[in-house]
Formats: sequence, structure tokens, C-alpha cells
Amino acid sequence: MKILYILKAEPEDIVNRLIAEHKKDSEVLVFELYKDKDYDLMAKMIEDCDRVIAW
Amino acid sequence: MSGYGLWERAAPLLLQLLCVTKILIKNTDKHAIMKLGILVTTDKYRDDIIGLTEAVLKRGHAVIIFFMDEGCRLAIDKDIVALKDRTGVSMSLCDLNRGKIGIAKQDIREDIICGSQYDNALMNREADKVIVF
Repeated sequence: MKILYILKAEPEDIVNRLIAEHKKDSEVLVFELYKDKDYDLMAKMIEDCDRVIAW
Repeated sequence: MSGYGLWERAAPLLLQLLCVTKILIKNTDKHAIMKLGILVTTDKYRDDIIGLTEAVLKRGHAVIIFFMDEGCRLAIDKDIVALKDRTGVSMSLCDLNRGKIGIAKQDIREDIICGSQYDNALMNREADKVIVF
């Protein structure tokens, strides 16, 4: 499973821990919206993944 | 047996086959038309909502936007509301929240549904993926 994390702010420790947990059994992609405003790339990543988690 | 009786028996099976086919297509083709749900709970991400919605539409997908809490403030933002004119965009909001934060109902464009959390539930049911802003 491919999981996309969209980070709206600098991630807190709990978010990094969740990402690390998900990485154990899934492919995890991270889009740092707080510093990257490439919406075309973001849309493509959303399209390509199976699940989206926004923090 | 009459033709009508045969049709009556076959119809549920055909319907079931159609549903299964639809599920298979949805699960196997990631590039089929996607419905992206955007749950807007604050007014802090106006530009991100516009940018993402436009990018998703450009890729041929659809967007469902639901405004609640402070996010209802964006339901009267002219650039956000203008997205409603684009093909593939639907919008609704929590009318209770709208009233609580002091936005007059007449300020909401008439084709934006002033609904309830039921519309949020509908969005979650209909959307393939949901993002919270």
C-alpha cells in the first residue's frame, strides 16, 4: 500500500513516529505543503497513492 | 415462462455484476476519475485549497468541498466560491457552524448547500480520498 502524508506544518514528533510505523509495512510518501507549493505534483501524488493522511 | 419473468430473475444478477465491475475498476485503475474530498475546518489554507483544487481538476478529476467551523469563512471568499463555477466541483457547508460564526445565510451563494454534518458524511462516502485543511 502506498500512503501519502501531507504535512501542513513542521511535523511534531508524533507524526514522525506514525510515519516510521507506517513505513514498516507500506510505502510512505511525504509532501511538505508548508514549504512546497507545487500543487500539480501534490495532485499527482494524491492520484498515485492509496491513502492520504493530512497533518 | 414469459420473457418478463426471465428479466425479473436476471435483473438483480446483472445489477450485482455491474456493481462488482464498478468496484473492480475503482480498485484497479488509479487513473480513472477520482473524487477528492476536501474538508475545510479552518480559514488558514485558502491558497492551498484553490491551488490543489485547480491542479486536481486539471488532471480530470472531481472535487467535493465541505466547510465547517472556521472553515465556513472561506465559503464567502470570492476566489474559493469561484471554484464552484468549474465543472466537477461541488460545495456544501455546516449551516449550524455558519450561523455560530456570524455569517449571514444570504451571503452564501445559492448553489452552495447549507446543510449539516450529513453532507460531510456524504462527502466521505463519495470521495475516493479526503484531505483535511
